Amino acid sequence: MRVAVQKIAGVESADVSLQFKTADIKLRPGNRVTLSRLRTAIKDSGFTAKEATVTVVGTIVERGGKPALDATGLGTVLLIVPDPAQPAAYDQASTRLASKQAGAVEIVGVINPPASAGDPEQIMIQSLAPVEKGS
Amino acid sequence: MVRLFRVAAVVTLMLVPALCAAELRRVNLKVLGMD
Repeated sequence: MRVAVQKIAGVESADVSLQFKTADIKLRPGNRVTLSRLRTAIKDSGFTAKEATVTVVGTIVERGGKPALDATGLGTVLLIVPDPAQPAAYDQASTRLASKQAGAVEIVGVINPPASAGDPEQIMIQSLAPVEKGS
Repeated sequence: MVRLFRVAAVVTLMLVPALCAAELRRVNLKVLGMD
């Protein structure tokens, strides 16, 4: 599985933990790797990828009056939903949307596989930070 | 016409960094079937 993931262009490193049953994947700046691509590589290796904790950069946009993350490079818009354990991050996203603050943000959150194909992907937001230019 | 090209160039320059900035940086996946 590690080899299959590392073969994907844009993957910097992939560490598999048998103890925790996780795959920790770091990606190079400017990559065009999608979560779906990673899930497929893992599936093709005979495993099933479930919940993903991701660090993703994009811009906050509005979808149905609520904040969403436009990760244009990934070809998708992730609906942002609050994490009950860390509601402040969702409030930050809502505030950015309401005040029309432009610029990229880095979001850490959890993405579960869509229940069925075609369902919008959601990210349960845990933290949000503006991206400084050049980072 | 020249003005139109200038506007297009400015819009492109504004969009490119935004497009480049949208990316996954790290993914930690839970994996089933590793028993």
